[in-house]
Amino acid sequence: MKGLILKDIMCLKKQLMIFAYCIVGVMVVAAMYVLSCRFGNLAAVGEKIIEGAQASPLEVDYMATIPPIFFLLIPLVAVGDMTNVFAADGKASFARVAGSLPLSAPKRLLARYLTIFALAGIGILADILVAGVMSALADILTFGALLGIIFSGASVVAMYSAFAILYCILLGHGKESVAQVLSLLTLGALYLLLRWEKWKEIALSIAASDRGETEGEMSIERLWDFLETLEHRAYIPVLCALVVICASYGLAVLILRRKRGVI
Amino acid sequence: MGKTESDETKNVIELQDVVKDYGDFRLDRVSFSVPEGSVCGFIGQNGAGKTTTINLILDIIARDSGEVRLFGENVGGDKAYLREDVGVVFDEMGFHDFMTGKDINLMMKNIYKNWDEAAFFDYLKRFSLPSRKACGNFSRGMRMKLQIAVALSHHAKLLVMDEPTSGLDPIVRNEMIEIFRDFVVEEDHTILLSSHITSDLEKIADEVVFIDGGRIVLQGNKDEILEKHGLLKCKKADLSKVSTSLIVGVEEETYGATVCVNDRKAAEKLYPDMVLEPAALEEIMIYYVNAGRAKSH
Repeated sequence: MKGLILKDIMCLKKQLMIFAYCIVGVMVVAAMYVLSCRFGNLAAVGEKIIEGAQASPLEVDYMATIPPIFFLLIPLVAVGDMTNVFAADGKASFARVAGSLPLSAPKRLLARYLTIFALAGIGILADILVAGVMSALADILTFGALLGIIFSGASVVAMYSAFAILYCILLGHGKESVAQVLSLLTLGALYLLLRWEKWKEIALSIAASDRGETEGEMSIERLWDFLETLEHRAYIPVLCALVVICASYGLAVLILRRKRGVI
Repeated sequence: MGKTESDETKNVIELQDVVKDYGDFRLDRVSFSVPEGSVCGFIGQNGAGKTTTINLILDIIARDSGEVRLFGENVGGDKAYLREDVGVVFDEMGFHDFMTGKDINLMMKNIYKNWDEAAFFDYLKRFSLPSRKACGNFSRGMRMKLQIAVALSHHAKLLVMDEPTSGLDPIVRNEMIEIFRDFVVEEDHTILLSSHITSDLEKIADEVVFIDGGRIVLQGNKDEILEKHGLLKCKKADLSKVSTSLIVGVEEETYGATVCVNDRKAAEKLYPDMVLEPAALEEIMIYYVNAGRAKSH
C-alpha cells in the first residue's frame, strides 16, 4: 500500500510544488498581517477601537475576514486538484497494473484516501504552526478561534475531496472535471439542507424587509453568523467531515466491488 | 503402481465454466488449465476473448459465473495475496510516462514482499534500460522489457503475459522469447502467454489453448496438436470423398482444395493418393476460425 501512496505523491509532484509555494506565501502574508497588527493599519484600527473611536465596518470586516481566507488556502491547495491523480492513472492505464498487484481493491482505494488526507493533514499542521505564531504576536484573534477556523475550513475541503473521490470512482476515468463540479454541488446542497431553517428565516426576513416590516440589515448579518459558529464549534464540521469521509470510502468500496478497473 | 499425489500434475491456473457477459461480447463457459512448469500459449485473434480471460484470471474484472483458481485457490474476495507470485506483462505498459526505473523500484519494493531490488537493476542493465530515464521516452520494445523486468523481480512463479510480443520487431521478439525460456528453466515456473503471433508460440509453448469468439475451440499439448492436424491437398471433385468427421475446414482454390484434417494418421491411411502436409499453428487457427464463422452463419 505504501508503494501506491508513493506513486500517488509522484503523480502530484507539480501540485506539491504549488503547495510548497502556497505555504511560503501564507507565511509571508501572515508575517505582513502580524507586522500590520503591531505597527501598521490594523494596529491603527485597534487603537481606534481601544480609544473608543468608531472604526468603519469595512475596517472591522478586513480584520475579521483576512485571516480565515488565507488560512484556508493551504488545505485547499493541498487537496484541491487531487483528481489529477485519477486523470494521471487513467492516461497511463495504470488501473490494470494496479489490479494485478497483490493488493485488494479496498486497500488500493485506502491508499488513495491516505495520500489525499495526509496532504490535507500536512496543510493543517502548517496552518496550526502559522496560527500559533500569529496569535502569539498579534492580539486580534485567539489561538482557539484560529484553530476553529482552520479545522472548519479543512473539514469543508476534506468533504469536498471525499465527494470528489467517490464521484471519480463512480464516473470512471476521463470524468474528473465532472466529479469536481458534482462534489461542489453536493457540498452546496448539503450546506443548504443543514441550514435550511436558517435560510428560510433569512428569506422570510428579507421579504418582510421588502414590505417595510423589519430592517433588512439584520437578515443580511445572519448570513455570516455561521462564521462565528465555526470559530467556536469547529467540532461540528469536523464530525461532519469524518462521517462524509467514512461514507464516501464505504460507498466507493461497494462501487469498486461491482465495477472494477478505476483504481 | 498407482500415481502418488506428488506425481500428479499440479495446475497453476484452472478455469471452470467461466462466463463473462458484456452484452456485445460473451466469454462462454471457458474451461482450461495450465500445468505447473509449462508454457501455455493462449491463441486467438484480436477480440477473441484473450484479454478478458486474463483479466478474469488476475481478478481485475469480476466473473458472472464459473470458477477461477490460481495455485489451487479460488481467486476473488480477499485473495489478492495470490498475485504475490504472479508476474504480469500487458500489451501496454501501464506505468506513468514520468516514472523512471528508480521510481518503479521505489513503488514496487513497497508493494511486493519478495521484491528483489538488486535483481530489478540487474534486469534493467541486462535489457539496456536506463534507470534514470522517464519510461515515457522508451520505445515499445523497451517498455515491454521494463514490464518483464518488473514481472521477474519479485521471484514470481507464474508469468501471465497479454500480447507481449505484438508490435515488436523479430529481433526483439526473439530476445524476449529467450528471456521466457530462461524463466521456465526452473521446474516450478509457469508461463501463460497470450498472442496472436503463433510463430512465437510454436517456438516456446508446451500447451496451447485456442479461443475464438469467447469459446475455447481447441486445447492440448502443442506437439500433439501439430502432429494430429494436417493439410490435405486434393481436387475439388475429391472433396466429397473426405470424411466429414476429419474435416476442420476447407479452403477451395482455383484448381483444387485444401482440407484441414484433425487426424493426420487416419487421413494418411484413408487417402493415400492425396498429398498430406503438416499444418502450422497459424493455419490450424485460421481453419478453426473460418469453420466457426461458417457454422454461426
